[in-house]
Amino acid sequence: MNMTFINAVMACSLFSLSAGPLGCLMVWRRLSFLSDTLSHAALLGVALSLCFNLPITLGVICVDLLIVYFLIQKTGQELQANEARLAIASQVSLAGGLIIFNVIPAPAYQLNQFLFGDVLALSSGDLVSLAVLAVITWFLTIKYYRHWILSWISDELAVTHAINPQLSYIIVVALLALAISLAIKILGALLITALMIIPVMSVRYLASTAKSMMIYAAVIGVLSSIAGLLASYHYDIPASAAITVAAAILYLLSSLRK
Amino acid sequence: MSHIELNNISYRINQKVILDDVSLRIEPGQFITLIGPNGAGKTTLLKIIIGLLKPSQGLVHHAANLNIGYVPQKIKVNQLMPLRVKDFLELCIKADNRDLVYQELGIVKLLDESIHTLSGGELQRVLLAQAIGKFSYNSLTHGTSTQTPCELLILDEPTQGMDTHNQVELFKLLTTYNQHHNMTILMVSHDLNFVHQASTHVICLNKHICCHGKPQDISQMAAYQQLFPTLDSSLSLYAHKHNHNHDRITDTTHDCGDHS
Repeated sequence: MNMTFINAVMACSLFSLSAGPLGCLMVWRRLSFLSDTLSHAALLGVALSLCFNLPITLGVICVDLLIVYFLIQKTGQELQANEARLAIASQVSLAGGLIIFNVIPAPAYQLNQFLFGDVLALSSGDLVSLAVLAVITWFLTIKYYRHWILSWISDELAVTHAINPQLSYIIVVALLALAISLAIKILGALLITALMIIPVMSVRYLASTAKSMMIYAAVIGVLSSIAGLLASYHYDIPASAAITVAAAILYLLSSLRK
Repeated sequence: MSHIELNNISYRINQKVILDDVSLRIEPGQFITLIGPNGAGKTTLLKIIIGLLKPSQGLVHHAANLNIGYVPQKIKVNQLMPLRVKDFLELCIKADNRDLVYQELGIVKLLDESIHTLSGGELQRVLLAQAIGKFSYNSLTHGTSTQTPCELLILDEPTQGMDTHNQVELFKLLTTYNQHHNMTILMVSHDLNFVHQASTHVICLNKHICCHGKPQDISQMAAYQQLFPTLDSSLSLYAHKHNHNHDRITDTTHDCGDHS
């Protein structure tokens, strides 16, 4: 076990801590496809950041929030109602990102890194920002739990309980954009959603309350990360793919229960 | 002072008029029923009243400290979100009100159940508990306070999907709240029978307010009769129609389409 491996485990586990509650919030609002769209769009954000020499996090968050803004203009708040537009945004931003990557020109390994992730490219700064992300996520989850659950159930109900449903929703989307922007280098645009959604599905029969489901999902995410990275280390397979497969195996095991 | 005052409210989506120049007041102690055909803008009007939507034109005035309890027509709890009745209500009701509300609405034995497995009537009771629980509960249980609290209960088609027994129970409960505890109630309903028995005021909406007044007066008004033809006239319509369908509601709505 070397330092690189331990760093990778820490990074993926820290991200899973945020991915648990975020994934739950996505799934409960049938928005898993949105997290996919935003991770693909993040690639465009990365390309633009490299192009204009900006911090990657900033570029990704801007592109993601712009895309959400335009989608909401068209469909109102209910993004899942318009999966076709989500699909277009997803594919077009991915294509745009690829074209810009070719134009800048970035070395080929860099494109691969952002598409599929690279746990070896971690810096200690990345670990710190993922830790901060986990703290922010859980702070907001505790603070806005009631807002989110009631808004997810009914806008009308939320309003009469002095909750702003639009704001509750925007906070989640902004947090999602932040999480993606920090994780894209490690997990890659194509596999971020896996670590966000699959653990949530694995604990669906396990949890009896919404809060415990968020916690269990985070724990399963950490377990998938460790198992995946161990497999990656021993059998020399790509880390993010190994993590995804590990999460999927846990999901299949959970399905046996029902 | 009125709980709510709407002055010349209009609401449009793109160019489509949903509400046109609606003015109304909700006075303390009233039991108002809002009736109107499908697409009349009833739910939109409620959304404007609770502040979820901003009107395109016109002014909404709420009494200071107005406390609104709202029973939505339906809720969308995702199947993958585990939510017990207890956990849901604890997010909605302050701790000191809970036990009273649970007992009064008979949901004590539902508390540990998942919200997904409730029957239509049970879910409606849980949603009502959520709304009632917002109110200063002392005024309800100890009744007969001389002052009407600044509280408004709004229900959006509460009887939909309920059997007759549950409907009657709900109406008894609402009437008690209104008559004995002076609770102000605004309800959207399709059930005309119910409307005439329970409410003190009826507002008939079809994009604009067609007519309003006491239930016994309103059924005599021409605008009302045009919107809600009586059973007799609908039946006589059937008698002459040979390619008819048996959905009387559709026929009623069709008549309303000719209106305005």
